[in-house]
Amino acid sequence: MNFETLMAPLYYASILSLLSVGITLSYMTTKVFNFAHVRYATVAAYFAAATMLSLVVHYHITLNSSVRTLGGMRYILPLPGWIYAVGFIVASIVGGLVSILLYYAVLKPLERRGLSPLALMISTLGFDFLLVAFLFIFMSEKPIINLAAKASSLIGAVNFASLGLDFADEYIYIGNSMIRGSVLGALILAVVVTIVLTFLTRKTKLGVMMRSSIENPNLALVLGINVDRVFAIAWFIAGLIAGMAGFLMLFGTSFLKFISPTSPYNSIVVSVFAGAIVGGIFNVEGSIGGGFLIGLIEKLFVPWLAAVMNAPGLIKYNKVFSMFAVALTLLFIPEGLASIRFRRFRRKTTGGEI
Amino acid sequence: MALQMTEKEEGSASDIILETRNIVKRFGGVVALAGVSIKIPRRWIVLLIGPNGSGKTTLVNVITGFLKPEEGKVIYEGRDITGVEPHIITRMGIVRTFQIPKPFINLTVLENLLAAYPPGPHENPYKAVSKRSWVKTEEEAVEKAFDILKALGMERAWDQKASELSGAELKLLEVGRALMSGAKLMILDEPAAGVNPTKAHEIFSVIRKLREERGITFLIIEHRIDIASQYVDYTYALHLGRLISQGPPQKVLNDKAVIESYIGG
Amino acid sequence: MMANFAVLAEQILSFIGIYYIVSIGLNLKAGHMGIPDFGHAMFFAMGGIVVGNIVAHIAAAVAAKSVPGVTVAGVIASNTKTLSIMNTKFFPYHPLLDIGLVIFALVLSLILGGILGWIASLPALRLRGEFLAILLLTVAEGLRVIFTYTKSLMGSTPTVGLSTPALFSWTHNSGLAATIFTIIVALIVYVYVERLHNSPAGRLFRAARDDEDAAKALGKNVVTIRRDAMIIGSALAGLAGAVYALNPFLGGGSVAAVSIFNRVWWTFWPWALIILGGMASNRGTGLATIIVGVSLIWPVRLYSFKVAQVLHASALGINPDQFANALEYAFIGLIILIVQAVLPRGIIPEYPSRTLPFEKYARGKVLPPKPKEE
Ligand SMILES: Nc1ncnc2c1ncn2[C@@H]1O[C@H](COP(=O)(O)OP(=O)(O)OP(=O)(O)O)[C@@H](O)[C@H]1O
Ligand SMILES: [Mg+2]
Repeated sequence: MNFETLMAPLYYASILSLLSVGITLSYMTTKVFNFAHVRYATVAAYFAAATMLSLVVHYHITLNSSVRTLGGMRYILPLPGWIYAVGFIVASIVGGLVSILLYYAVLKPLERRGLSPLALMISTLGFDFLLVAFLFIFMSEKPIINLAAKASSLIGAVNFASLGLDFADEYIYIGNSMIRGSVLGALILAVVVTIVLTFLTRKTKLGVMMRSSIENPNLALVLGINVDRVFAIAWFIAGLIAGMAGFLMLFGTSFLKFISPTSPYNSIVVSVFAGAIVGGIFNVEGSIGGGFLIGLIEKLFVPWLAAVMNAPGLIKYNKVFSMFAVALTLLFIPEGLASIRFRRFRRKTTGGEI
Repeated sequence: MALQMTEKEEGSASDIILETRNIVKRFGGVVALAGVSIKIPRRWIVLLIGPNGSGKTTLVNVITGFLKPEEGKVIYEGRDITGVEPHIITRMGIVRTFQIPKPFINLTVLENLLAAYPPGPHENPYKAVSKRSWVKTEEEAVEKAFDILKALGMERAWDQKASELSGAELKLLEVGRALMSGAKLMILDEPAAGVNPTKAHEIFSVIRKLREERGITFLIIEHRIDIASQYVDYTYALHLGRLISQGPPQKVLNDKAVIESYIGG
Repeated sequence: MMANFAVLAEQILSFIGIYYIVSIGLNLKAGHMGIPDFGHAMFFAMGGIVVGNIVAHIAAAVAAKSVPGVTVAGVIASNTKTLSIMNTKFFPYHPLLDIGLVIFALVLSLILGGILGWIASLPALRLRGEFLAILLLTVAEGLRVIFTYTKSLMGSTPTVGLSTPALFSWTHNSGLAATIFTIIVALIVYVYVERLHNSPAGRLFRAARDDEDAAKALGKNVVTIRRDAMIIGSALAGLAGAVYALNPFLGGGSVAAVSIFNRVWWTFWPWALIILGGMASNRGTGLATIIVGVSLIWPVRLYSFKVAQVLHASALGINPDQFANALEYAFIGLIILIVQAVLPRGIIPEYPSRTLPFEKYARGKVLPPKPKEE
């Protein structure tokens, strides 16, 4: 198995884990499975794309791949780095804002009317459909199409069949082996997000407030914590991360699918839920691991199994393995893989009590 | 056979319908029941008292299969029913009510009672389209339901939704459903809590009547000992998961240990 | 013009019929029994398979004897060709066989849907609420993948799927015949679910949904109750799938995994309809289906281009295709959100199971006899 074949699995697994963690963050706080979560990434991707394309057109940037070096690495940037930076920031913020919108405009009012978690989950589905409708209309508006056409003529990197988005990836050479920028970006982001979230939940005041609000919202209220606000922040962070994932999706379309209002949502949403559940719906780090695990199962383990068993047809059935992972987890370890270690840890620390 | 014996020896303690032997139940570190053994003779009305948290409800949950005890046995009509599933225990003839009423909230009062009619082939969904498969049983159930509603003084509320009832009415509904089930042993968890004294007396009169007319045995948990004690044959007192006193109501109520358990909390 | 209108009416009626059947199946599970089935589409798909695969095979076995070019193996191997031969040279001339196959398809789809529902009820016994919803969603997705890529189930090209036998081609106007058939099945289903609702069994579903512990304490076996609701609701979904595949207005003459396992069409749309109609309300689901079917979305879906042309403000330059798509999504989204916010019990809230004329008993037993009119 060479380096190149690891690209797709690593990219896919990182994207899944970045999205799974948001499902867990929002579930932990409000006990709602958020069906709109994965769509944040799509919305963010569109906004980032529109912004970047505007910049391309405005500054009349042509695709002039420049090779740069950093230490021993050489990397090729199809577009100037600052354009990516702007796109990344726009994507994150849009993701976060959409999430906040769902939280304050839909969930909170409905929760106040006494809807059950299940009904709230269905309402996220309703919100999600509105996002899709918005994307279908927004993205088919003439100005946007014209913009994309202009940008395409400059950089020739936007696949515009049926509004699909597909940005040119960048390449980074380490010695003689090449790694794609989208893959490296996704990997780095997954690691950074894990570290930051771990730090945030364990070491900061916000994390303490968040945990106490989750464990006992009433007590937290008495202690003067604004539980609503704390949860909203958690939702914002979840959306932020989804937005980042959406930005990365623009460049990894050859690994996933091109971006449209319903793609790659339709093909990944179940895997994202699978990651959150297998890793642990009550555990932030667990869900990142769970997303990664599901990604590797679908894109690395199944192909490997297919090769070993000499049954290439098996590869297409990879989602069936995720399905089994979810079913087994929910039926036998409903708190996810992360709970196993957690339980043992707990028994050790509180062993004397019983 | 057992039934005939009871008929003859009414009031005798020799025919035990239900017995618990050394029930132990823990919740994590809390020992809710620390070896509880009680005997309930057939056709008796037995009262179970004890301060809050003494384990009364837990004992009911263990007897009716909602909880599995760590140790001990539940013997019903000579058979070990420990750990048997709740609905099977009910089908054997034990019915229980819940301290916090658990109505079928979106159903009407009448529907609540009808749904409590003993299970049988009339509830088979695959035959439900043929009215013939259930209509006779249903007619009996409706007759019985209205009789019970009348006995409980709830007849005017028959078509109201359970969600519209007051707390006291919900308690009555709990009792009504238990009566519908036609059980041999009824375990009522605070049937008169929150009900006004007149109604409470009425409930206990109904209980007495059912015992006299149908030979039903009762285990009743009640905090309103003043009212309940007038109607019961025997009393058990629990404290911190242990039996601290048993005997005729007046004896138990005057027992120093019992009084202290209430005063001490 | 008239003809156009007739076709539009037939299409709308077909949609109403099919959506009533599939939604009422979901309502039985989710509304009456409280099982949040987010995998409803997979049961629907069973009916599609029955028609597209099993019935086609049986028909081919019969046709192979008399019609040149038809073989049993050809149903999968050269699906389009085999089915088009049968649809033009065989089915139009064998009305009795066609009718028999339709009935067979309905029965078998009920059975297969029911069996899959029974299997799906096994985890439903251990899990509750949203977790069950996610599990069923995942299982449906897994099953979709299996069916998509298994040639012997859905043919060699996933996107194309299988052509369906034209079992109404013996009539003058097969569209009209299929529409009438769809409506009749929907009406029978309505009568059935109402009778089930107004029976002790139907009442027991709702009772066990409201409080499992109370039901257990009254001797009811909640496990079998939930199982039965899953089986019946899923069987109805299977039936809907068969009707869908038999009706050219709906299936368009073929079934593919992308259409019959479509989450949005056969899981989320039915959810929106039962929420709009009222959970556990058979009549409400019917009214919701009719309102939505007639008023907006299905004409929109059918005549997307025309509607988009009429509505589209060319200044905005909105692409008509996308616009129609957007409208449909917006419609489901708005229904779900607005109804949940404003009318959480739906347009016809859940109503009691009237097994017998209760008022009569009430008068006789507990209430004073009706006062004489003054
Ligand atoms: N499911 C449970 N999990 C943990 N602890 C429990 C549970 N049920 C009961 N307990 C504990 O067991 C003890 C006995 O409770 P139980 O409800 O049986 O008391 P009770 O005698 O019925 O009190 P009350 O008069 O308030 O109804 C209490 O300390 C209670 O906190
Ligand atoms: Mg109690």
